Order: sequence, then structure tokens, then C-alpha cells
Amino acid sequence: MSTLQPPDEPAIISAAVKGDNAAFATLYDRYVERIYRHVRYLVPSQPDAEDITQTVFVKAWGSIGRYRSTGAPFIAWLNAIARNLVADYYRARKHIVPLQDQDIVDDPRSGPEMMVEASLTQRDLRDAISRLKGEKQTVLFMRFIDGMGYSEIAGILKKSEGAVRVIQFRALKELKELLDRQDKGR
Amino acid sequence: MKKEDVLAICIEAVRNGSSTAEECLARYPEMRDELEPLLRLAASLQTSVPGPSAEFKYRARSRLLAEMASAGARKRGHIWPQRVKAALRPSLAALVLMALLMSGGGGAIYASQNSLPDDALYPVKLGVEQVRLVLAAGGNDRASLRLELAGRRIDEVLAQSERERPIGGALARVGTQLDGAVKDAAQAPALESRLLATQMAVSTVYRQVDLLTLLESAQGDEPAIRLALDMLRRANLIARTAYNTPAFLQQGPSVLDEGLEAGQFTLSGILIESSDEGWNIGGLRLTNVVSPYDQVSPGSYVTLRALSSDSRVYIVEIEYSDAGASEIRIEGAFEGASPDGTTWYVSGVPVQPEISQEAPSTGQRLVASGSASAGTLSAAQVRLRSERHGELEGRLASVDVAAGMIEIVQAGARHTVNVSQAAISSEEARLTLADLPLALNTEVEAEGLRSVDGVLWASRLEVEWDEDDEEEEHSGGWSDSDDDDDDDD
Repeated sequence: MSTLQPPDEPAIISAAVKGDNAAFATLYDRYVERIYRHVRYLVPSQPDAEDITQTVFVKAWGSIGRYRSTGAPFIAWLNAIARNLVADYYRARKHIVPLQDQDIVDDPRSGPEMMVEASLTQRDLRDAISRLKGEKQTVLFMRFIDGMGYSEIAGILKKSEGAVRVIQFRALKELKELLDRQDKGR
Repeated sequence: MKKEDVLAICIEAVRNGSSTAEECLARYPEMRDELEPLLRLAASLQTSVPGPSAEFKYRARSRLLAEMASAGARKRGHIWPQRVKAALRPSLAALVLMALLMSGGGGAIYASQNSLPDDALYPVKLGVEQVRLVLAAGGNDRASLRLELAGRRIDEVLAQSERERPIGGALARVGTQLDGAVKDAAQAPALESRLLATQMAVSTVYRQVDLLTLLESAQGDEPAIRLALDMLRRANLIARTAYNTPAFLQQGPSVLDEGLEAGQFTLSGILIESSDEGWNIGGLRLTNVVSPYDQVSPGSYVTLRALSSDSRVYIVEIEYSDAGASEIRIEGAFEGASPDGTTWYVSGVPVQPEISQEAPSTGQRLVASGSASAGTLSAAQVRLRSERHGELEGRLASVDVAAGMIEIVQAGARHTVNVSQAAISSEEARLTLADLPLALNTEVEAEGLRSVDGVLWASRLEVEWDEDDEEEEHSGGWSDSDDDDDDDD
């Protein structure tokens, strides 16, 4: 998960826009992991997350010819496609429980929640993140779920990298306070 | 320094494995109490969503390539007459095929397609493949077909193994097809050769996995399997190099070249300059660099994966990170020492070991780290790196059950290990992959390690396991229990 945009990125995107399939395959290699994690955070099941991620890249490839750089990193465009597909997914499955109420891994013995300290469940974490306001939630999501670097986040939010680091610090501090309060409330 | 900047530095350092949380915070003791819980929380966030499985990435990429191929075929409709012309080229093979079809041999051809090397119809199957190769229009189609045929040989071997037949013969043809595919790819236009490189890089990884699985149960066929694995590994290296640097194919690399892999090296450090004259990384100079990157910004901390071949350095991959250690680190092959023995050459880079030590044998993989002085990596700590059949002991840091991957931290460095095919056990019991999350932060030992496309595959994983103390032993923790042994195959 490289956090800086490699210097060859504009040339690769430009080649992909002109129809260079190999260049698009390079973009797939670079972004598939981050797009999957983005989608996986938003939908409750692994197979659905895989279907949506796969569709993101097929759709992106189908419309790459119309892509125009706006100064935002390329992943922002892929994320926009992903979010539209996730919205379609929820529209088609109105009975699905909203993601905030679900743990990512169904088996309580498996998965990365075991890496979180004992008292902190994924659900706690998600609840707390959802209560963060505006940019704080966005920065944490972009940094830790999307795996974006500070320069990428700064480019999207049109802020300096220093400002992004400050928001990250405040967001983590507030998140910690929210989790501590949740803990005491039990 | 501001605490938000220190937090950002430590988050990145922990993420890229250059230091543990404790090591990083030890440099800022006045902020430690405030930042430690935030750093723990950041680590929890980073691991709160599992990544995709390797199997899914392969499947999704295959679908994407299939979409591209079918759209390309639709667009290329106008070149059909050219292809027909090529197909109508008079050739002995085509005439043989036509004769077979006309004499009622079509049924034999059809029946031969599922035959195995010891079957009577197998020569017919090989003959039909030769015809297809002759009829293939251009290097691109031929290379693609050769990759398919190499895969088909491995499928045959797997089928033979299931039927408990000896497997040697078909594997001998894998290398021939792979080598032919590399040579045909060099004839293809640059764009097509990059797509072929993608196809080859992916297929050779998965075919290695097939053979590694087979190796576990092979009896007497190990040499043939290992030989085929060597060829697949070299084909993968050629494909990954050619993907970013297609010019490499023009040099005529071969999967039969036993010295090819010795040219691989990894160099990490601050990129000071990159120009036609050479690249300067942390004070070390690389010349004759063939790079796909027109311009690489100086000042970044880079990890350069490259292949040294025929007096040139081909860039395979460059990874950038926000922050990194100021020291330089190289991993490469020992090529020899100066007459006085004080300077060693590791993949062309001069290295002066910190302490006098006996030179290893030529070709031995080494890891050296230190700082540059007058173009030499001086006062370097040098250690041997076991190449392919090593062991790794350390703390189990994460488990991705779906992907079958774990992370082991050893002496502060993180190693990703695929254990999906491994026998997992402890003194107490035989375990399954799903049990591993309960062993987080305990000591584990991965054995029978092999490197496949940068990921280690273990054949056995030994876990410290005590069901009575589950809560106490496996409830998670923060500090690393570093191991003095630093062998990181």
C-alpha cells in the first residue's frame, strides 16, 4: 500500500485513457486492494464486496476514455464509482441491515477484530467513527480504510498536508474519547 | 516537532515495518503517554477491514483481462482477413490436420484432448498443439498459446498424480513452452507484450502454487517438480521485469538461464538523483539503469526492486513511502570481494562490512544495511539470507483467515506468509486456519518456506497453544517480543 502517488501515474492514466489496456491493468494492480477495502467497509458480506469491487474495475475500464483529471487523485474517481455501486446495492436490497450494525467478519473467532484490543469490538469502532463529524470521519476513512497518503487526502480536501495531519490527530483523539465513554457506559 | 507530525511519522513507521510503536515513541518520550493510545487506535483502524484474498485478485483480474480481450477481438474485426491469410498459409502441419479431419480422424483429435502422457492418443494431442502454434498469427497469439500449453502440461501432471501415475514427462515440456512464450512475447508490439507479461506474471504464480502443493505428496518426482518450479519462478521474474520495462525482452532472457535470479536485488534509501548518467540512492550510484519512469522525484524514500543483467539494471518496481529510515539497505547476491577482503560486492554495489568476517560463497543472498561513504555502503551490518527453504520464528501479528495469510514479526520486521496449504499444529493439537486468530501475539514458527512472487509460502506452522490459558495467552497485546535471530527469508 504505497501512500504517495508514483511519479509515473499521470503517464499511465493518460495511456489508459487513450485505450492502453496494459496501462489500465497497471492501475488495477495499484488500486484493487484499496478499492476492495473501501467497499468491504461499506457492505456486510465478503462475496458482495468482491462482486462490487470487480464491477468497479470493469465499469472504470469501460468509461476510462471519458476520464478527465480534475487534480484529485485517480483513486477518488474509482471511489466515486464504488460508492455509486454500493448505493445501487443497497437500493436493490432494502432488507439488508445497515453496515453500522454489522461486524465485518461473521465468525467471532476469526478475522482482524482479534487484533483490536480486547475491549474494542469492530462494532464499537464503527459506531464511534460514524459519530465523528465531517472532515474528521472523512480523513480517518481515507487514511485508514482507503489507505490514502497525506498528499492524496490533502489534494481531495484542498488542504495542506499539515492540516490533514492535524485533523487526523484530533479525529483519533476524539475517537478514543468516544470509545472510552462507550466502555464506561457498559 | 508537533505532536500531530510525530503521530503521523509513527503511524507510517509502524505501517511500513521500519519500527515498532514502542521504538518510534521512544524517540519522543515527552509525547509518549498521549500518543501511545492514539497509535494503538490507528493500528486497530488499519486492520479493521481485511484485504482481498489473492484468489479474488486473480479472479477479478482474469475477468478484466477477458473483458479487454473480447472487446479487443470485436474492435479487431477488420484484421480478420489478415488472420485468415495467415491461417491459410501452406504448412505441413496444417495439411496433416486437414488430412486427419478428412480421413475421419476428427474423432481421434477430439478424444485426444483429455489424454495424458501415457495414453495412446497423447501424441495426437501434441500434434494438434503444434498445428495451433503454426497457425497462430504473430508473436502475441503464439506467446499466449504457449502459456496456455505450459498450464495444460501442469494440469496433466496434476491429473497423473491423482491417478497415482509417474509424472516426470509432461513437466519437461513446461520450460520449453515458457521459454518459447518469452521469445514470442519479444516479437509482439510493446503494448501487447505488456498484456502478455501480466498474463504470464499471474499464471506463473498460480502454477507455482499448484506444483508446491504437488511437491508435498510427490514420491520420487521431486527433482522434476523442482526444475519446473525454477522455470516458473524465472518466467515470473522475466514477466514482472518486462511488465514495467518491455525493453528487457529484447535482451533475450531465458527461463533456462540459471544465473538469472542472482541478478535480483532490492535497494532502499533516499533517492537523491535519477538521470541518464545514473541513479543516486542515499549516496550509492547505479549506472546503465533502464527504467520505465521518465522522471522520479528526488527526496522520496524509495524501495527499488531491480534486476541486474548484461551490465544493465532493469527496474522491476519502485515503491514510495512518506517516511523511512535514513539508512540504506540492500538485499542481493554476493559477487566477490576485493583482494584485501575488506570490500564485498553485493549485486554490483560495494559494501564494507562493519566487522571482518569470512566471505560467503558466490551467489549467496545477503542483506546489508548502513550508510554510504564515497560510493560505498560502509560500516554495514551484513547477514546471510537463507534463500528458499528457510524457517521463520516470531510473533504472530495478524491473521487473514479468508486469504490464508498471516503476518509474523521478527526483530521488528513484518513478514507475510501464506499458510493456506500448511499443516498447522501445536504440541497439544492439530489446528485449522480458523483457530489462528486465537494465537495472535504468541510465538509461532513457520517451516518449509518458499518465496512465490514476494510472498512466503509455508508448508508447516508450529503454534504455541494452551487451551487452558486461552484468555490469558491470546487476548492481545501491544509490545513486540523481538527475537535476536534475524534471518528473514
